[in-house]
Amino acid sequence: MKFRVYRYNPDVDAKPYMKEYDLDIDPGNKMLLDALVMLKELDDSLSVRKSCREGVCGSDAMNINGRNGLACITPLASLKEPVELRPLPGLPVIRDLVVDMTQFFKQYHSIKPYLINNDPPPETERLQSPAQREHLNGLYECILCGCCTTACPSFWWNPDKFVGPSGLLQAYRFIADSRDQATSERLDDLEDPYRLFRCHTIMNCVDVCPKELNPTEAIGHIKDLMTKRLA
Amino acid sequence: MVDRIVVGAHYGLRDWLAQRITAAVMVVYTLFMAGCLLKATAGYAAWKEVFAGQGVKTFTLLFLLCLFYHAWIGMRDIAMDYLKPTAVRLSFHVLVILALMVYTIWSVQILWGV
Amino acid sequence: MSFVPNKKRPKHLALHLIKLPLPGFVSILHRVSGFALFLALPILLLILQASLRSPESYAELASTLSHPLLKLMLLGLLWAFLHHFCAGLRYLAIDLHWVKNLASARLSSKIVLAVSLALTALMGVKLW
Repeated sequence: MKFRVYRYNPDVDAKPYMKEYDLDIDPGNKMLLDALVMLKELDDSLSVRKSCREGVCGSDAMNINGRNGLACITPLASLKEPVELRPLPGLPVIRDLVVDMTQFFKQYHSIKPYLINNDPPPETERLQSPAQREHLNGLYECILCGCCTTACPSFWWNPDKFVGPSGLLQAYRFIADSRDQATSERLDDLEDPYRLFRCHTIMNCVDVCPKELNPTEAIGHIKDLMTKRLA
Repeated sequence: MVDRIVVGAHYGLRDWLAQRITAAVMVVYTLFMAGCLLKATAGYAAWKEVFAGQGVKTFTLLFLLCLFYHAWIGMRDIAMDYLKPTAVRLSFHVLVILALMVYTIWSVQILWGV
Repeated sequence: MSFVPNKKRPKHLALHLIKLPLPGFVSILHRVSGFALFLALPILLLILQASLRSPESYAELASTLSHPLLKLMLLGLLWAFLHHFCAGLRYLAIDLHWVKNLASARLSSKIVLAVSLALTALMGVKLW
């Protein structure tokens, strides 16, 4: 199979370039990550992040033939040749396919991704009814791989100010949690022309999410709550 | 001056809502106007007749005001994405606002003029 | 000699190499058409003014606008308006949670493109 891979080594290269590889591999039921591991055996200067190799850790997100995805759960047979691999768009490249996610995680931390509850802790857990728990489905499953946020033009143009789909999905995950008491503060924090409202519901995020989550809808629910609060 | 990322101006929701409310007004006006045009015959007299009543004049001005406010939010959105240096962005804002203010005065003159 | 790391890291943002899904394409057209309409505002107001001022200015306007190039420009603006209108209605539908998943986002994008082009063609035929 033919591959074209984005290469950049800050110690040697003035700027990035594409390197071609021809790999003797039977796509069969193999994933793209299998091919990358073989490529690395062929050329050990190639840098890739990976860990769980089953779509749970979110390490091997990259731009595959123009579309963001996880290498470990992308079947090789589904890809058109030459398979073009580039780093996630809009984030600074450390080396080859490895990007600096600092900005992404800064935005994630800015939405206070933890339960805020000032009541004294009960003897047992803080309980939720099954119906209350149900609200968290489709929100908590995010693995923070960065596929959605780096597919979002609003994040490309304002990575320092726009929280991005992934962070906003998590913001709603805590707003929607019956045990959280900081809804008003969370809404205040997002009621700014940049942090949430750079979202123009173009749904690039929904298009690429490897966990099939829907940040656009979560953002819509946050807007609903803000509107409800105003009225 | 320290280089800080400044966010937290609380007009995100207000502008987002305004954009939608002005859009809704414009949709209603567009459908109304399309209806008027389908009924009217060709020629100056019939066209002038459409805009004769105070009601239509007022509705048209309301539509244009909504249009200008809607355009301001849209232009500012574009500037937020693509125009980064403060001086460039501020100049763009001022130009857009001044143009829209002139258009507003002009619209009144057109509708209630001779 | 000490090693000086390359502080300015490159970013991959070659937009022609990044796939833009259909709803994203409709969205950028929404922005482009909105910007075009904003630029055309003085022309449109001028047309409105000339059409209402007097029978003479109306006739003059009609003859000016019969020029094929101007007709083409008008048709372009008509498309810009119709696309902005239809795509705007789609956004309102998203806000109201009528369009929420990927399938409906794609379908509604196709409808927006088709309806705005069809209406432009229809009115174009009438215009000519």
